[in-house]
Amino acid sequence: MTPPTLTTARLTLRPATMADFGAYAAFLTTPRSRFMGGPHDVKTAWDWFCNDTAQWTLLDMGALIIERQGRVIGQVAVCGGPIFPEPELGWFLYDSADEGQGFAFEAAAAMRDWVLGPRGLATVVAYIDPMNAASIRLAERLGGQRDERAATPDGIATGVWRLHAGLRLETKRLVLRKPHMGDLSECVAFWSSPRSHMMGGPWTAEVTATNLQEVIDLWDLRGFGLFVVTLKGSDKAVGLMGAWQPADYPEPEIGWSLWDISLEGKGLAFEAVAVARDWFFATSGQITAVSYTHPDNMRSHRLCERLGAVYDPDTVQIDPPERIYRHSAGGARA
Amino acid sequence: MTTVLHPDLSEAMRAQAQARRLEPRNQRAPKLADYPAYEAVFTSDRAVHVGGPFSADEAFADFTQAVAGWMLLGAGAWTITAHGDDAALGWLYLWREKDDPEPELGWILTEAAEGKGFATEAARAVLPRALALFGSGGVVSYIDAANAASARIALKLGARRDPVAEAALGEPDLHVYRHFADKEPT
Repeated sequence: MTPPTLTTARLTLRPATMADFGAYAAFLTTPRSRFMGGPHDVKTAWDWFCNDTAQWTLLDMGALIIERQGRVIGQVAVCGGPIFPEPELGWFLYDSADEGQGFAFEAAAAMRDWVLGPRGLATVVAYIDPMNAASIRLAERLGGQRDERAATPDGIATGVWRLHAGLRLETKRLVLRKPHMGDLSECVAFWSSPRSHMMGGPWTAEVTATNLQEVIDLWDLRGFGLFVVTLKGSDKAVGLMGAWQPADYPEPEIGWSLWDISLEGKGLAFEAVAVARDWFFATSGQITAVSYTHPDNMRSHRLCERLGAVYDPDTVQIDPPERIYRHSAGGARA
Repeated sequence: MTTVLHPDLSEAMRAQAQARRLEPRNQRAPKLADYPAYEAVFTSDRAVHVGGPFSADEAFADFTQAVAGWMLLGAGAWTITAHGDDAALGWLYLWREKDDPEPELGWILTEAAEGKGFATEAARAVLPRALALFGSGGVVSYIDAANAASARIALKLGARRDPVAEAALGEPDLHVYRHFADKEPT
């Protein structure tokens, strides 16, 4: 296939040309490639460069050169074929001066979204040297989780981090995706603040981490859960919304938290919860769900009513005092 | 024909090859399904005249060079197939490799395809285009001195050995066959 050109907030990811080989080889022949088995010789660099390019013809995937303001700063690639047991997402920046600014993450996230989105792969892995702490952090920010059972290329001793095709729901202004532990810092910022008091907070960072892990685990357990809400063009979590059912809930609950006060009053929560609710009813087979709200949380009451939920005084409160609303499949108004 | 494509292959070749679409019939761009046959050839004694036999990793690297050549250099390899059958019979190369002073027309066949004139037929389809690109006498085939079968093909195509080029190359066992638009060198 013809390779795509992807554009992010700060970067352009484009197909390689012959002119890109010099910088590629320069990188692979220096100690900066130590986590990729380097330094390598120019012959190996050329083999790899051809492999990364040939992938587009052979497997409809491959490498893209990372450019920032017209300057080549690195490469991001998804490569498969006989060399790897399964498609692998890899990234590198040529110059240490470009590190620490989120460029690798921005490029890798765009490639991840392309390969697990339009390209249609269900899963992709990253092979990372267990000593490469920076790449491991990046893989986890991307949503990768260590996969101890995955095959490695030629049985080499490398760590494998696996990413799954996320569920992605899009609205006019938002993208909803499954949460991962890379969202923890945004979670902590909200749940440690007084703004979380109507949601049962504030919590310590440790409690927040435990609760985020539960949110993630509930997806695997039930097949539905709270989505992380992001603004289009950014992968940063700004809230958690959707239907979920913790172990001690008698039935699914539709809940939401929007973490940035500057985002309130724009209808973003309604936009996100409506699409998450519709997805939940369409895919889970459930026909009803509740929203447990704080009796003083007038904003949430208005949102419930806007969503078509009705006040339900007969349902048992699980953490009184509560004001409970009931949603029905189809979003029918009372 | 199987060493390393030189990274400094001339931009002129790339531009010219892109300007003219090199798409002979019965030859197509290589694809992944061709690779098992490619590996079988290049890891076997069939590759002895092109620097092999190679390891499987080397064979794959060679294959991806031939494929990537089209995107990076505007030149590379075609897979040779028979009419109505997609199976790879061999490969035809038009490129310029590491340390080679000139563009090269090369070929290699699978064992099953040997001796049926497929390489000659495929090379005949590409040769006029190669000569149009690089001029009469501007394309050569580098052939191992012990590779009598390929030497016969080069002669059938009208190529002539070039002792001056061979001397300049400095590899006694490597013969240089030069291709011309007319059968007689001008």
